[in-house]
Amino acid sequence: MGRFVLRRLVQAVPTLFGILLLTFLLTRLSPSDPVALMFGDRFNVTEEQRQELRHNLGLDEPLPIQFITYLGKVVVLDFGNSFIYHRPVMQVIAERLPNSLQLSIAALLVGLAIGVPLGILAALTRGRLPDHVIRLTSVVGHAIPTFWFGLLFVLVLGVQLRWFPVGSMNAIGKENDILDRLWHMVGPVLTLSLGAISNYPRFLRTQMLEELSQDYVRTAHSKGLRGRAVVTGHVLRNAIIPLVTSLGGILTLLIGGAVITEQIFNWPGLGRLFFEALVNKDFPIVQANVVVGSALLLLSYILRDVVYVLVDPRIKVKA
Amino acid sequence: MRRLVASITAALLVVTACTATPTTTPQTSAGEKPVAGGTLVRAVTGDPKSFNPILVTDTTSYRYIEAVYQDLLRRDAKTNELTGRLAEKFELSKDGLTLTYTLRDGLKWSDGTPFTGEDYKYTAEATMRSKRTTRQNVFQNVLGAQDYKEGKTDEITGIQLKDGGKTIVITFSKTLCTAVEDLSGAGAGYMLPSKQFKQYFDPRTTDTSKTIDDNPLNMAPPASMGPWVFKDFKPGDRATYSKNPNYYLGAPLIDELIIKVYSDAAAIKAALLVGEVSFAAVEPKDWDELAKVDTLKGFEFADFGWNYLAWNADSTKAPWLASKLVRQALTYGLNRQAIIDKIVFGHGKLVYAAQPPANAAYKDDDLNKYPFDPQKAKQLLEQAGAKMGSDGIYRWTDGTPMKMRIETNQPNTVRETILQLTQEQYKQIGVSIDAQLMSFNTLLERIRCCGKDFEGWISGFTGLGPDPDQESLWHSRHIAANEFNRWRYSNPQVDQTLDQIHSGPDCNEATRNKLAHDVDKQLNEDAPVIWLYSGNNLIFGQKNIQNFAPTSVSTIYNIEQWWIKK
Repeated sequence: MGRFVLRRLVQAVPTLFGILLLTFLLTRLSPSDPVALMFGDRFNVTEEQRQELRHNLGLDEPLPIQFITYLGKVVVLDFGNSFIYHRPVMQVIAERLPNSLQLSIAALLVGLAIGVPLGILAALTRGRLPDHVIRLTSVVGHAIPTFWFGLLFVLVLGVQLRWFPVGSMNAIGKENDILDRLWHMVGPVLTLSLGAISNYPRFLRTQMLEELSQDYVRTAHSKGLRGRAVVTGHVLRNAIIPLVTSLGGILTLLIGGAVITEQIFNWPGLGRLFFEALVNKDFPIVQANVVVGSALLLLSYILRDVVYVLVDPRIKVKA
Repeated sequence: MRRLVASITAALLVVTACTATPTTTPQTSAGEKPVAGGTLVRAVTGDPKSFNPILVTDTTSYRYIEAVYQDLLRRDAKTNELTGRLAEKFELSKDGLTLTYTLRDGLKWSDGTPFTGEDYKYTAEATMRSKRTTRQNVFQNVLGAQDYKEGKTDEITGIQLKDGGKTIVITFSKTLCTAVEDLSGAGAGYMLPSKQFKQYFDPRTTDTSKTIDDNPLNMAPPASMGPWVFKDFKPGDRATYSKNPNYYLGAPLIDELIIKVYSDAAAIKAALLVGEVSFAAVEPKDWDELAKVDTLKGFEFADFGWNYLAWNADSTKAPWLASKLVRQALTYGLNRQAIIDKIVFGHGKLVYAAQPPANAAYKDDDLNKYPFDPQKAKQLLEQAGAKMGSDGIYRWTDGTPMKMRIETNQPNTVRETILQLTQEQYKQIGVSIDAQLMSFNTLLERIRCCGKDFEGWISGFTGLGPDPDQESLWHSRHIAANEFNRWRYSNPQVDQTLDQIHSGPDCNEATRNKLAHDVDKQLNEDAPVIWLYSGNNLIFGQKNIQNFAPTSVSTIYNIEQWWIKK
């Protein structure tokens, strides 16, 4: 197992290098100039001043030199200074990371906590009322665009009825109040987990039904296992594999933040930071985002493979 | 999402400075006794890029900075006149080469340290040595500034302190009328507390590798001259300030100020509606809805900028643009009031020349207003030599159809809509428009230099400022790549007047304003660009905030007098 993980990690290195090269080139070759943006449409600015700033930002070096300098720093996780914020990129990201994490982890947990039981229930009550209701709500939930749900939540439950806050992480003066924080999380977490809540039951129901018709289920029943033991001990373990696959990219989601949800609920997370960086041509932040995101994606694929082995006895590692 | 992108882009791209003529007077709380205490919440749409004014130029960052740092002079919120803030007096010598600021007595930072000319000189030197600032041009004529920057000296010799730091004397190599105001913030716009910053950057050195650019105080102002003292900053969320007991106009009545970050105008509107935000700038489309809410009060005032449709003098395909009659015809042919109504829902002013309506130099009674008149437009086109073609499009004297390519940037709903309206309206006067959208950067590159394949573009200027000096926009010496006379306007008479406004000898503001109007009259006649409109600034505040009376110049100029009625 250890060798398997190690081999996968080594295989990830060239992929990561490719990603580094690509993001570097894409940001540098894009037809836009961060220096022009920093000066904006201000007048009274001479060309020398532009050149000087370009030089100070290291943007006047030949591209290969810029790339090598960049690579050397990335190895020690130094993504340089943000052009806009005048601070180290990793610091700017670290400031926002906890905010995004609490939202996405909560959304993941809520999605699983609601989605998985609903899927099991639907499969076990196939063709009866609970199944119909779950399937209908799944389809409806799946059809609702996230941003629309979020906006509606803010407008109706926030502005009109005032049952929930209109956004932000906490009320003024209640920065350390856990209950207040949870209260503020309801809207964004529901919005973020809407997809999972409506998709997991459909996923799981189909898989469960397929597994329930397998021979080993009949065998388990006939050797006298109780119904619950059959479902949780055998059927669920097999049925959950596609769900694990779909969770493969979850780490990226956790760090990438959710641009739209954060925007609507005024949540100071990474999604908003990256979005603004993109608009401002803040290359260092954009690159750090893509590189860290890709690294996490690679990592989560490796993790997923490990989880396969753990949940599915049929899958074995060949060392 | 698209609208959201547009609004954010607009907010980020616009580099605004603040502003002039008040249209509102402070509400006097008749006979009521002010109650101290409470918290003010100001809404903005982004983080400060830095709390160090040397490193930033964007409006959003200023919102955070103006709470703690101050400059020597300010514009009077009501009269727009340059008056003393931390300086009690200021004087430019007769020859225009020596500027003297005299500080008020007893000025103290929030930590008790006296404020002196040392803080001024420190900030100026830190600005000159910064490698990431975009603000050094303020010092272009200050003696010794360039030498200091290059490390030839260990101080800016042109800035001398007298009377124990109470008097600041600045010497120039050349007169520049705007220097009086521009230098009042030591180049950075606001002065830094030298005592604390010195541990990170000591200006008495010739080692130019040492800068103020990276140090923790840039994100945490250690002492304050403004009404508020910095407490903490949570990125993406808020900055918190407490009142400054040493504020030179007296400690604020309100205890705490929070500047809170919202993702966009929609979020700010919702927060205003539920009472979470005390005051904030809003978008024109939200005005009517917010005005109906009886807990809120709206303020509307003129801006220091304008939107324009400029003609590209480099274009090789539109020889008719050289004709004044044609340019005038094109101005008559555009219904600018319709644009105001459609785009800013009536919350804007028509502009007829270069001085923005908030400016003291603005005067329009003797300018040609170019009222919308398609008949007159056609008549002028024909007078200039154009002949109507069979397809309803005019032919120029050389027989080419009058077709023009006009460009603007996207995403920018405002400009896209203006372009669309222009296209529709010009069709009525027999001029065909090929509308093109591109990214802001691409557009900037194209107008910065030499694009010959387009005839006009739509853009805007914000933050033209309360000073009437627009030499860099209209003087023929600024016709060059990367300069701002992008319309290639050239008129020797105007050049001469612009020089007087720019570098004296008489830097008296009234004289300069009068000269600026002379320039306006000529520009109004020559019509090198079409001034479309100037959008008004709109601010809403909770009604219970007393003495809240924002003007074009400043929203918070009297913040120490505000109080919250229970």
